[in-house]
Amino acid sequence: MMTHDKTTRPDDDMPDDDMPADDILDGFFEAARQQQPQIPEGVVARILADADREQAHHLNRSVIPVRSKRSFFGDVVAALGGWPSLAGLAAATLAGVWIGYSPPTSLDSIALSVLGSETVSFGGFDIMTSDDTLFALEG
Amino acid sequence: MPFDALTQIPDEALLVLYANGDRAAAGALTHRMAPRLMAQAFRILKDRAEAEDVTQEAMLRLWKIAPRWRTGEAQVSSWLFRVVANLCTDRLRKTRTVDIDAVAEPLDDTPGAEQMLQTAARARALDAALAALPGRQKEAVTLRHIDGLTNPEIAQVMDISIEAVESLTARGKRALADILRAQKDALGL
Repeated sequence: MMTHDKTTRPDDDMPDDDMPADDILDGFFEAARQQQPQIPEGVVARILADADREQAHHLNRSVIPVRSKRSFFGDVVAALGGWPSLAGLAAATLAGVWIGYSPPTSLDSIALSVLGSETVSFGGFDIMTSDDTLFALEG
Repeated sequence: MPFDALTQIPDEALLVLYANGDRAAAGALTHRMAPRLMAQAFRILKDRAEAEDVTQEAMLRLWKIAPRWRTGEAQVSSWLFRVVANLCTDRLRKTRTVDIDAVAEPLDDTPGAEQMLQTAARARALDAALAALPGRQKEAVTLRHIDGLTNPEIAQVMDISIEAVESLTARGKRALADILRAQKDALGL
């Protein structure tokens, strides 16, 4: 097995034109790295002062309570669950009014079976059974 | 958290710790990154004071973005090197052209001064050779062999694929070797 003396490289006798780029450039790169300046402690201190200031800023900003800028009406809407809930509530209200004004025929049969044989009309709306079923229930 | 315990923690985890209020994390990140950023900025600007300003500005941008940092999207080191490169480019556009000969030489008679002069001469020769390369080759070679970034980090900094980084550095090194081959012996290499 062939071995090499550690003080010499196998390509020591190699013409420069054939020398690998790394062998030529290593010394130049090393010199460039040695020429790089050290960062002064004062600069490190300034960087750390910036870090402290920004960190305090972030942390303070994350715990400051945000005051509500909503109006009273806005608070009411929010209490009901926001605009989507309010839209649902309005749709349900309109549906209720419509069913009261013009009940579907299937609803009559349900009303008869639950409340009794007849209902009392008031201003065009059926509002209560006419018999004594409900009063009887109260005893 | 004690400073010593932070030395093995990845950059991104340190940034999260900092954003959550850990002061020592800022110290660990600063000692890890600032010297490398300073070296990169000085190499580009050739001005120590400006390199210090750019380093501080880059780190300040890191502190500001820390609470909004999206983990897993970019490496902290790559992000910082990119910020430094952009800041340096802005300064060069605004102020001046770089005069390579204006770099101060160590002139003293202390022991090792001759070695220091030779090191400076090698660095200047490399600088001049780098200046002859196409911009992307110069940037890739410098980030890889002087600033010490890995190929994936360089790919993020330059916004190119790892294969493109490998190609740029290989071509750049061949060109550099062709330029510097003749000066090698004269510079004691």
